[in-house]
Amino acid sequence: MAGMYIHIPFCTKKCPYCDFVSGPASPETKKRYLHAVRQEMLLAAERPMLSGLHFGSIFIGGGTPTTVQAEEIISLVDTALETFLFSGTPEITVEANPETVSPAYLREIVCAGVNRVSIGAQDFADKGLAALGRNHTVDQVVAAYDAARAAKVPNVNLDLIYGWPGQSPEEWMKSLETAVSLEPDHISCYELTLEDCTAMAGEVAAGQVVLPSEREVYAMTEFVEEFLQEAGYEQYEISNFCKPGMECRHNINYWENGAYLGMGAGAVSFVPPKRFENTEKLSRFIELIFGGKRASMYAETLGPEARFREAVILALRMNRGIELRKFRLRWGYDLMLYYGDRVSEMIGAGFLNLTGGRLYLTRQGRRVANSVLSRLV
Amino acid sequence: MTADPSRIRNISIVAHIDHGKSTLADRILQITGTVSDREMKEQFLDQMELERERGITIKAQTVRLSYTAEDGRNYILNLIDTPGHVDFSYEVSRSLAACEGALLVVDATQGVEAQTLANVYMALDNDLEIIPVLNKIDLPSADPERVAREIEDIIGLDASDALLVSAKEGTGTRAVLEAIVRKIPPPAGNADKPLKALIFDSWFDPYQGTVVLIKVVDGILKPGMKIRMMSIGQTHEVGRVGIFSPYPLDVEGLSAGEVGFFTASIKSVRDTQIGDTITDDRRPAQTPLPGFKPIKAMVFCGLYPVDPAQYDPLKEAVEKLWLNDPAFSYEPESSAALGFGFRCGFLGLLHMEIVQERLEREYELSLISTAPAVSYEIALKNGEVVQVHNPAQMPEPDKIDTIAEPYIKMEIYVPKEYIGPIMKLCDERRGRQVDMRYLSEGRVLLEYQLPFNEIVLDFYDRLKSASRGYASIDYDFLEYRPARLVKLDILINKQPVDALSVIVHRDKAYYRGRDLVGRLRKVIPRQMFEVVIQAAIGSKIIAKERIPPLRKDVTAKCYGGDITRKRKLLEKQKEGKKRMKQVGQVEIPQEAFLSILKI
Repeated sequence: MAGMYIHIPFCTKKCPYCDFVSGPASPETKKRYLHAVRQEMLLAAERPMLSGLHFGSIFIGGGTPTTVQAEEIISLVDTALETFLFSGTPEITVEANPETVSPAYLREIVCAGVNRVSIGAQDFADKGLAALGRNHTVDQVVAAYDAARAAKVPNVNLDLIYGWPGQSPEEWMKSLETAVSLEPDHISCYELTLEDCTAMAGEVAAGQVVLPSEREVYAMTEFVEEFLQEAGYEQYEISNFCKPGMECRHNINYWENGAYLGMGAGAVSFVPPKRFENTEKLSRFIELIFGGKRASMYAETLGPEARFREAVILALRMNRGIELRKFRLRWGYDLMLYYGDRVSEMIGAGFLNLTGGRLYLTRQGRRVANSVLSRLV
Repeated sequence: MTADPSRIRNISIVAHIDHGKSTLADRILQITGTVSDREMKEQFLDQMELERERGITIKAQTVRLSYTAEDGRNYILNLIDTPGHVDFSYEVSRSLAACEGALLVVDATQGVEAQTLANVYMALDNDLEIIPVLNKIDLPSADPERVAREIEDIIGLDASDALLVSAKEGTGTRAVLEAIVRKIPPPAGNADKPLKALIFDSWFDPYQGTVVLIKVVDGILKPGMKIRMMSIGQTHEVGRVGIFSPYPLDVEGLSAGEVGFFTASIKSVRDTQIGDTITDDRRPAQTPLPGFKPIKAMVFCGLYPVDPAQYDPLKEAVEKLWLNDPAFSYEPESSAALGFGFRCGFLGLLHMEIVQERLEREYELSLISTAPAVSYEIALKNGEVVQVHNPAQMPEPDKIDTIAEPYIKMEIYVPKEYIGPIMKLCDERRGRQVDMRYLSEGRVLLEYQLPFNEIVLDFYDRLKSASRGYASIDYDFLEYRPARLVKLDILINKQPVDALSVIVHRDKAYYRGRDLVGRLRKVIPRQMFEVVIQAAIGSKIIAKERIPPLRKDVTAKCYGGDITRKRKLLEKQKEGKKRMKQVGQVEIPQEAFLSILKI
């Protein structure tokens, strides 16, 4: 089943580590943009190549989607549901920043069908929020979480970032413990990635701030996996943990190499074997859509073999890994034969495991997943 | 049809590297209208792209100019450009042998350098008339008087009417041409005698076959003639006969005193060795021209393709190059670490670098080279003597009686304030000072005997930095001398990496081992596994370093919008690995092999 991603490129303030398409905007711009996104859905639905897609999820991400009015979110969801084919009850996620959501806001979007809210908590210490340049306090995180619970959001996720400049492993442990004490259904723990050209990358390069050492970050990661397991969270992907059955279906679709349609500026679509990418420029996006044109540019087409390899590196991000038989049937390649020694060497060295016909990263392998996956890509 | 020898002037330009020889040649081409301004690229005679980039002349090149002098007569000037580096001194000497005179170009801001001297002595050996030219007089730091004095004091040439020139700006270049006509004698020689022509350069042209540059000393060379190479006795039929002006132009013949080229269907440039004499097969000369000596490689290194699949293209490239460059030698070799490649011999370090670059650039190969090594003479206990020019081929220590290494005699010219650091450097390199002379008030000639293997690594760079670039050197092979040498092996995760083995003096082995291992630790990236690097002499470990395994290397986020980008990052990582050599499970970057090039 396919996933639908809707990009809201607005936020109250640009975070120093963020390299997504987003930024503050005026109410008029937001309104025009959201109108354009709904229009894009209508245009997309008419395209024959998309007519066969059945959707199982909607993910409204950003930016900070909750910087737009609740009725705008509702109108996006409604348009999507009315325009495309959905199977069963779709998973509908909205990303939210703590300072932007009220209990009323959340109640309204839940009524419209939103059943998963992902709160950009990032940390449970004000020091961390300051280091990450966040626009909210720890109290606001807790308030937002309580509001989501009060609004009876069925699946609440907390997004956390660790390894920010100045963070000690102890500080991280405490934050994670606080997060778990709230009993969210889902927790994403992202090791901070310094993206080129972000403000934080500049500060680190200039020596103004210092990242934790590799040893410390390693310890933090170990703690994440051990602590969350003890607390009853299952790890299902390198950075994602949840209570049983509370996985994010939308994201799993990415790692299973499923089709997805991206709406909005900078959004990427994958309609096998082709990938498209919408223009990142807001004004250009609006102009194209209202001109009745597609905002997407062709990005790439993957041949069967390249798709297979991409499927391998994506699937191995998930703890359940790859079911070899299923992969052979789906892709026509026998993975073990295809990679030969490369895979067996890594099994021998303890980075991969093969049991019951399933190939997956070991704990050690997850730490150096790029080294492993770069041998398979 | 034949040119009047009294109207011919065969000249060369001798100079130290960077003193402006090629620029002066360019100006002369322009003034004589040989090359139009539009055609004029900087340093026109440096044909190869590589030469232009490095600003040096690698292959000697020759060109015929037509010049109407102030006496109203028309002269033919054959300008023979020569390479300007110690590695190519033999080519220089043969080019000079084709001339009757030479312009000695000295940078008026610098003064006389080792190379100037070495080349001037060669010119004097060839009885050439020498015209001193002080170049770069346009620069504020030019001091023509001091430099003229140096020429008189050091070389012993009369520099009272040295020409003041700025080749860059064209100042004084016409005076240079007049001086050539007036001062340099026309070629001697007799067109009626049996043919005798000196080969001073040759190269392979895919359309023409081998192109041979010659100076006809006696007799006449014509198309269709059957000629004989006097040193090797091979005979060939002459194809085209012509001159460069500067583009090739066919002529009916070249007679005594003339310089030009001929083509013949000779497969290998090696069969037209520089310095050899050609003669008429039907009416041969009795004795060859003097000065022929076969060229011998002095420095060796292993060249391997980074990608083993490039072995065949490398083989082809090396073979082609061999045909083109008699000074270059090769033989196949294999390395446990690097796979299949070639052990190649070179005249010197610059020659080695140039060949490597040509292989990489002209043949689009990506190469790993092992540390340059010299050839050792090893006397075995069974009485046999073997030449070893690859450390990995060193016989077992218990079979060796003695090892002898080549020594060179080196002359170093240096301003006196740098004597200290230079002497220290030579001491470190096991050098023995034989002489030290003040050439002028501020400049000194140091003469050393040095083991050649101490020079082949980074001596030249070190010398330059110890003297802020002012020292210049010239060297000659001296003899083989026994020495206490050992083979130092590098082991990576217990596996010896043959391509990293070096032969060092026993007294330096510990230092060298520690240094090498430390260097390798810095250039080998952390891997998924621990990497242990050891230096060993025989079975004795003398140094050890470990590279801890990579603990964290993971992309936290990978969702729909950035799958392509993240995949490309992994692909980049994979490409990076491809450029490394896999030894066991350890990936070793090219820099590791280069790191042993420094002491």
